[in-house]
Amino acid sequence: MEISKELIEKYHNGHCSPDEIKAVESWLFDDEFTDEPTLPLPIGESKARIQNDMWEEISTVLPSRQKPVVQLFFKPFWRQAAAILLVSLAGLTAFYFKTQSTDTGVIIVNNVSETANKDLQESAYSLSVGPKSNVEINNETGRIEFCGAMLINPKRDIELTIQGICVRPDKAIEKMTLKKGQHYIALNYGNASNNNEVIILSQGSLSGLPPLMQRHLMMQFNI
Amino acid sequence: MKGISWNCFSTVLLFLGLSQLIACAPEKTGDQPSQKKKYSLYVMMKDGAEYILQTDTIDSGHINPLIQGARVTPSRIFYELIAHNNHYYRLNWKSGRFLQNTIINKEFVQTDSIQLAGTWSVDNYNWLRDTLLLIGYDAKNSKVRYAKMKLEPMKLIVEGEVNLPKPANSFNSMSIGFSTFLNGHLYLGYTYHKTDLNSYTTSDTLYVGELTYPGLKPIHTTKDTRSTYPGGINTRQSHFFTDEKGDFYFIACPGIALGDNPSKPTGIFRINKATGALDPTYFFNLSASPIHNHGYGFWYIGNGKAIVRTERKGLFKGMEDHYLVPHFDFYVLDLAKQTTTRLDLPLDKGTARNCILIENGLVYIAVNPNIGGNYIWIYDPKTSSLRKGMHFDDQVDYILRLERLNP
Repeated sequence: MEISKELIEKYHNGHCSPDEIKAVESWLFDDEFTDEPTLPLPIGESKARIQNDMWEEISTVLPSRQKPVVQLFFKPFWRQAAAILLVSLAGLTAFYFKTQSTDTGVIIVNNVSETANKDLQESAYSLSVGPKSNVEINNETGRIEFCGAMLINPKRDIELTIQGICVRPDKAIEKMTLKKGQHYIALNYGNASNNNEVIILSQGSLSGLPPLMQRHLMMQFNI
Repeated sequence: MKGISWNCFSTVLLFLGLSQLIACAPEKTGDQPSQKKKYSLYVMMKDGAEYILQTDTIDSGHINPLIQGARVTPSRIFYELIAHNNHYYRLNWKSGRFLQNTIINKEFVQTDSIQLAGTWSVDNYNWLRDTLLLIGYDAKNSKVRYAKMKLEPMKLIVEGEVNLPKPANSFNSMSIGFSTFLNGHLYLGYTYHKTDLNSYTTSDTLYVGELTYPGLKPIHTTKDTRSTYPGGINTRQSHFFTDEKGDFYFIACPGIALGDNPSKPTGIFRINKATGALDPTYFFNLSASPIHNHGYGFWYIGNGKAIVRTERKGLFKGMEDHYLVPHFDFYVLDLAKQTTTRLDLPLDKGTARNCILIENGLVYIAVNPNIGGNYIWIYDPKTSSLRKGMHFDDQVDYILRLERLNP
């Protein structure tokens, strides 16, 4: 059933059939967003003129009923419906833009340089992506996927899930807490017994690596 | 007026002076710069802060770095230090300066320095009386560098390049695992690596080069494939020594933490003083012994006995937790009989630690397990007994260095 201005007025005046009441109410409480506004402005009429007409109509009842302005503004029911529609639209738009910002919140850094790092400043941490390394960061989920080597320097204590994606992207990695002020090295480490050990080392445990690897990383990230 | 204000001023000064004296008196007795301490300890706290402690006794008592220690900055220099005659020396690889630091009034301060050529780190050092010889690989310029110097005051005698074959074929780096003087010649143990920012392994071959000294002309080179990664960086921990007879022993460490060629066994080699050659008949295969694991640090305790610090597979997952999980055992080795005896110590953590000191026939072993407390344990080889010595505050996470600082 098409929801028209007349139908809403009829509903307000209590002249609707049970089917019409059901249709109007389901329209009123429906949060679904539709591209086509259900209640378009009548063709050929300007918004300003409709507004003027409405205000004229309202002004005729103002002195006698002495109702609060806000309540008056939402009379007749056509305006209540429009308000609900506007609020619904605003909500939907907000939701839509939020989803969009989640998409743009995924940061991808692909460092193709053979020697230089690529640096990135986020609000919670700074990141230095090593040469020939790539990183995908989802700030919403706190998930960082990487292949190569990177230095993470948290600005506050943060929880991150760091996943190596060079070879075995399905390997489950638990969330870990990185502490403010510490340096962390995340590395896809290829050694003799494992060609892709994903290791995340705090600056202290960096000392556990073979000396040559340790020096190489310290030199590359200048730590 | 003037007299009164001077009186007040001097009273205040006197009061301040007295209060300073009272406040500082107990600490100052143990903190005079002139009063040189025998031992130096380098620790890392649970919050990552690093301290150096100097003390005259390590066989008993309790020590708290927050009270008795000097904070060390920059951090993570513990594997680079050479402690000698009340000073700490290290090569700053960023600047190429060789620095002298001293603890003065509980502060780790730089007291001298000299500039060296190149960008390198020390792989090995050796003393020739009061002259220090440094050797290391300059990866940036593909050169084995050396520098010889006097220390007090610091004065460079000579520096240059050691003529060893450069990395070739698929190898792009190398390391000098030991340096020693035997029969007037310099012996260098070395090997080659394949490495980049994400990967690392070592050749299956170790090399022993014999050079003239001081001319550094190559005389003879021996190749051996019984194991690889000869010795190790001796600023980190001990990997070689000369025994009472003048024979030289070194450990080869192909385990994941040094050579990363773990299909090779960890083993001990000998260069005989009599022949001046790597003994082809001597190889103590530790991986095939009851130890059944790879090991790294190797200390001589006298009378043909040595201690090796060995990892325990199954207790760590890989390089990520190798440094964090207590999994290290200490074994006493009889070098001639090739037997092993495990010391009944708590499992120790930290991939490399300069943790053993031998004095007057006693062996002092700093052990930092996660539970049970951090102690210096005292092993008496004569009675094969172990007892606890100095206890460290519970906030200490790692005891990274234990060494003699002053005679």
